[in-house]
Amino acid sequence: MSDRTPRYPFTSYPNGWYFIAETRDMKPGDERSGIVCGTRILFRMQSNGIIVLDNAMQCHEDNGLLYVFWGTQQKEVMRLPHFVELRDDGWMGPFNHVFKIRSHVQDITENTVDRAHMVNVHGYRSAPACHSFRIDGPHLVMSTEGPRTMFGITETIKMDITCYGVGLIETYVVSDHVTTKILITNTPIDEDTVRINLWFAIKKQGRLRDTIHRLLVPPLVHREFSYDLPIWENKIYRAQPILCAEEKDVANYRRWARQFFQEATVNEVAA
Amino acid sequence: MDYRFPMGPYPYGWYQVLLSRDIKRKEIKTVEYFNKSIVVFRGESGTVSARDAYCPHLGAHVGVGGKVVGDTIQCPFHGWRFDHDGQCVDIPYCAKIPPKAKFEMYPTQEINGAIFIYYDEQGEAPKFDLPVMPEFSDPNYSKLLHWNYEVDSHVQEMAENALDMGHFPLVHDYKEVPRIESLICEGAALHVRFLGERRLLGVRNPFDVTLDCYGLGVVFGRNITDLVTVRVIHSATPINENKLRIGVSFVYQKSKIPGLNLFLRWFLPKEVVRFVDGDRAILNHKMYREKPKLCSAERPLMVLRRWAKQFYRETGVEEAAAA
Repeated sequence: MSDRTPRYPFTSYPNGWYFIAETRDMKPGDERSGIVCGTRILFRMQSNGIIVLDNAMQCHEDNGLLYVFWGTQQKEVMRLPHFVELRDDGWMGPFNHVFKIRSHVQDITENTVDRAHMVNVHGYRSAPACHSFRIDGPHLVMSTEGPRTMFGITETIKMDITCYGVGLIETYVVSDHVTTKILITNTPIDEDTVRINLWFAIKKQGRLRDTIHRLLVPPLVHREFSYDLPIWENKIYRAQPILCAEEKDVANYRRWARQFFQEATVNEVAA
Repeated sequence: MDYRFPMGPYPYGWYQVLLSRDIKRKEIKTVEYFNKSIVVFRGESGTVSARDAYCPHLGAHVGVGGKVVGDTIQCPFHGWRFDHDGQCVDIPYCAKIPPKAKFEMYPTQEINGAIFIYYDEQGEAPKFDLPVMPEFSDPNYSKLLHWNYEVDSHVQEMAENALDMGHFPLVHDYKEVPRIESLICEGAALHVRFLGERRLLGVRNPFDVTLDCYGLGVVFGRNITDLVTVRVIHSATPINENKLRIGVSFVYQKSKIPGLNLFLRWFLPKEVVRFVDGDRAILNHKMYREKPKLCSAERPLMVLRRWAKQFYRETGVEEAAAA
């Protein structure tokens, strides 16, 4: 009689960069820890302001966000998002929402290329069009555009998306009224759980508009995300999904994502 | 918990998963049986169907956020709609529907106030049907009363228990062992009739019980006494390898004696609970003896075991027929 079969036919810990913790309020000498892929990782800030881990893993700090590299590849190969907007006077932020859910990083990132779900889950009038879809080694770059209605107003939403492996998704969301930069960090905590952080900044447009955006945008981002969560938590992974002709992106995404489940292959892909 | 039976946990056959009244039009329910998530929905026309919970497209659980649209169920993820046969009939953003876009379905029968699904690990078509019992829609009978509970047991043990006349005095407080009047195996059905007597509030109350077993999951019973005639559905549905949900649903013939219906409404459920509680502790803990030491009066148990073999793939229908 079989035991519980694993939910995914591959490891919960694919190779790549994962967000571990914020470092904004750390002072020299401070020590902290975070969990990545079932492993607690200690880090501290040296007197020169540089963060070091107390193990052999590679780490990188960018605008107050600390990442570690899980796996065996060269860190030069996979780039990291550069979130200058978090510290830019032209932008409001950072805003942050955190979710801890039963899912897999590959499924969450798959949603990014899955334009068809935008209609049923996020209220788009039609699936957004894809203007470009480019694979660049461990990076996947795409831009989409589609109409959505909110509060009775239909506007066009453009997205420029870069996936850095399956752990980090950087998106510029430009609608007729507001421009937002969102960074989604997916970090496996244990075999079954992913911690998702949404980091975002809103482009300033003048005091009145900024006040409205500051009030409206964070709850709306939270709401959109909360629509996806029950689906992710309850779905199964179909290794052989029945796709229709319009869904080539999903198949291409999966082929691309395979590289993060093999050891030391990022270099080969890049070469 | 280790599996403790020599036979497979899920013999094929019909199993009760819901009562009809549990699911209204345009409603979706998820039930957990056979170690699987099963989604049941009732369309606008009233038709009910049962399917594997996960969309054949990208695996979303259609019982979490899915919607009923007409006589189809719509997946919450990409909006694909599927009919009662499991077939995809609409993709909002694609004109050509892939022919393989089809749910894994469980054949469904809605009769006698309940919803039954046919479970076969190999997914083969039903080898038998369940009969309609007219009493369940007869206005001279009460509305359906229902009681259910969980037990750590096997569906065959439940069937054996019903035929095991020897346990009635000790477990259920009968004055004597009931007498088996007839025992007939007929394909997937087994019919048994037994007679006996109980004391009810100090008064002798003879009973005449007929049990019609259809497979190992469903028993339709009738109990005729001087006081009342009761029609019963006794169902045993595996939740997983070790756990069953037992359902007891019954209707009784309404009496013309003033006040008696009120008494029955109060008394019969109590009787059912008392009956069930007697078996529960024993079933939870007993082991299955493949070669039990039986006395000659217990021959019916072996008849049942031979009959039951047909519902297991390992033994096959041929072997059971030859036995």
